[in-house]
Amino acid sequence: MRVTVELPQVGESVVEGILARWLKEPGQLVQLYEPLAEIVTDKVTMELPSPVSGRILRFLVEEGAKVPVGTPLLEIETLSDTPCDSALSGEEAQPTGVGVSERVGRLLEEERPVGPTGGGAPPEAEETAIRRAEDEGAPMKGGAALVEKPWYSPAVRRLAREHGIDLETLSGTGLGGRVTKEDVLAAIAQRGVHTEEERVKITPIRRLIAENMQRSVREIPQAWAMVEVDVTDLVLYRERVKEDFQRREGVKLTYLPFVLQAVVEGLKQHPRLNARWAGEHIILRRRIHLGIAVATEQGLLVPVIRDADRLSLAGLARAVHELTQRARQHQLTLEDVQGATFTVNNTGALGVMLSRPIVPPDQAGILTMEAITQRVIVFTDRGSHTLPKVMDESLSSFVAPVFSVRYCMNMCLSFDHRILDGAEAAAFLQTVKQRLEAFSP
Amino acid sequence: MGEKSVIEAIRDAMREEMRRDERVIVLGEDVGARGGVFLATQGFLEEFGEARVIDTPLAEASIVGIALGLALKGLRPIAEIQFADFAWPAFNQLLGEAARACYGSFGNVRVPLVVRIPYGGGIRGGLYHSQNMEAYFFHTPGIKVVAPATPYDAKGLLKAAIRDDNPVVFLEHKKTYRLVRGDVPEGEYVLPLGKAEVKHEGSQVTVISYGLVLHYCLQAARKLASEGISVEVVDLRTLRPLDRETIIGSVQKTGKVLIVHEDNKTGGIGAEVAAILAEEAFEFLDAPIRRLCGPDVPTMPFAPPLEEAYMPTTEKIVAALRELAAY
Repeated sequence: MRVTVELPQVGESVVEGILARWLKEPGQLVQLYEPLAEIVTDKVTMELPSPVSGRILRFLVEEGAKVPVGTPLLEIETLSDTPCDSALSGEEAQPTGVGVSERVGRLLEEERPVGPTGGGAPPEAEETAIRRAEDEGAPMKGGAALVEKPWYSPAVRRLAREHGIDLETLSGTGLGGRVTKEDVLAAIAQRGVHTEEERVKITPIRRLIAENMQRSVREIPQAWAMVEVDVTDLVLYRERVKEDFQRREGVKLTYLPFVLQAVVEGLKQHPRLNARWAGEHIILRRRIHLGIAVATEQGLLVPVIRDADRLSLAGLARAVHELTQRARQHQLTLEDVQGATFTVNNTGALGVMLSRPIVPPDQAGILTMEAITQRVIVFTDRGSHTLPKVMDESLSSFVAPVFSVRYCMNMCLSFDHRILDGAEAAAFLQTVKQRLEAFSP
Repeated sequence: MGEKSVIEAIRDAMREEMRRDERVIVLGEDVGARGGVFLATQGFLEEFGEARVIDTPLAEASIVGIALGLALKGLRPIAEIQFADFAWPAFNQLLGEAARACYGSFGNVRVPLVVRIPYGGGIRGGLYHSQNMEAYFFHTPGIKVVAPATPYDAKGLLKAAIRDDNPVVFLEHKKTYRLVRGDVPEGEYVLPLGKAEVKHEGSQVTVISYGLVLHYCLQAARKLASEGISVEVVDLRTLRPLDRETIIGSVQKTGKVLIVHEDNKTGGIGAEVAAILAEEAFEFLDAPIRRLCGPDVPTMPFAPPLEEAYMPTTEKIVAALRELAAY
């Protein structure tokens, strides 16, 4: 196509120039940017570079002529589509406008140099066309190819850690086979579909329980003993008074307050069960703060009834109720769960017959009360029960045995064998047992 | 709502602020009788008079120094440095004095000064009309540095700068003056300094930029969208203070980032953005942080092919983003 080359604006305040000397001749081929002529202005002498490649058709101005800026100087026939042509084609490139707000505006293409202050002719209203160009700049190094063993980016490692993904099982779609963030995200999404394992996050409570149990098992040599308690009289007693109690006190009367009272008496008579191992000493504690184990959704919590020995049965019942409520509603404070000197666990409420609890750190023992069941008991001559023996001493004659069905409850004690031995543990259990069996029917 | 060019938006901002507050004055070379070599203050002398529109000699240190003095006296001067390339003599007054007055006086002295500076190349400006010097201002505590790319941003941010009681260097890319047009609302509005803006949302790669080349980044993003690569474009708008929240938030989303600016690479704003991301978004990076900048040569060349080799172009940005997305 035919291109007319005009005298360009070569300086801010330049308005005209002299075409001093042509450097080419009509008919000659000229390359893009090749000098066409020497131009002299009031400031300098300069060369006029060709804006296109092509063949020079004809000159329009004579050597030596002084012409104003913008005067057509010569014509060139271009040989092929150059990038400049596509920009001059007059097609307005339509922006796709995806996600770009209108006020961002658009960048206009300029046809001719506008000079530093923009003193040249106003530009055509065209969007800059994107030219085809080779990729430039230093190519990206790295990816998995750079290092011997598999390399994982920080984002990949973080996602794998957060979701428990084993990176070595993944194949990568990134540069050089690199495992990318998208690869990990895809693995996470796919994992929900079919899996043999499920990973559960460890909650703070779970972690605390784990740490305490581990510490306890590691530090305390634990021994265990149990007794069977005949709670028939207690059961009957409770049946008799429980409705009045609830009406009067506003809380239910369970078996736990009775057990706590018995435990308090046991601890008073056998203070080693209310002690703790302190390395150089065994510290006997005078005050009795009973931890009561409460099962909640989040895990095992053990709120503490402080000075349990100063509370009446009603007081204990109220304390149990209140702490259990607060535990289940996640409202326990740090104070509520600290400072227990002995712990009681009502595993019976869960239907358990026998359990081996773990002594909490800094305590001497933990006692469970198991499920109350009806059992067939053989009676021998004992205490206030004046019933015939099963066998007489000579083992030579039998007397008809007396059976009865009684309410019985096992109680299991784990204890710190550094602080006390089986004899004292058994003695403690006997005290508790006798206290619970001492109700009048 | 009308469409304006960047220079028109800047002119409107100044005119509105001068009408609103008679303490606002402008001073600089050719701002009065000539109306500014870019016509930024066209008509101002006639409307506001010689006392408020002052033609200065060719003496940049004096322009800024006198403006500083006027600011200390209670005026709100807008000093114009005609080209960033001429700003060097003013550095002492601007960075050595104006930037420190508030801090040095324990907050008792305020400097409500705006220094408007056309900068940047791509206009065949050569050695003395193309320079980028934002890095020097960016590095200096005690001043704010603003570099809008669109007419809407230019007007709102310049108004904010004029109303700010601190010295603000307001950088205007001269190639955007007439070549970037966009919608500008009729009514009064002010944009907050220190806030970047996501100009194009995306999910795979973030590109952070400012000034003229922001528009090349937008073109690149649109081109790559048609190839299925989702690019998020963040316009910094204010260079100092940087909007760390927007920058980090975007990279946390995409994991890959390219920083593009016309200024020389070494010690440019991209270096600081990269450092911030490495420090505060390390765990979210899925690829090395990349920068596409002007080369480390003393100035933008005058010869057209060399100037084009120097500038970040849409094609170079597209290639870098494609590579980054594939990493």
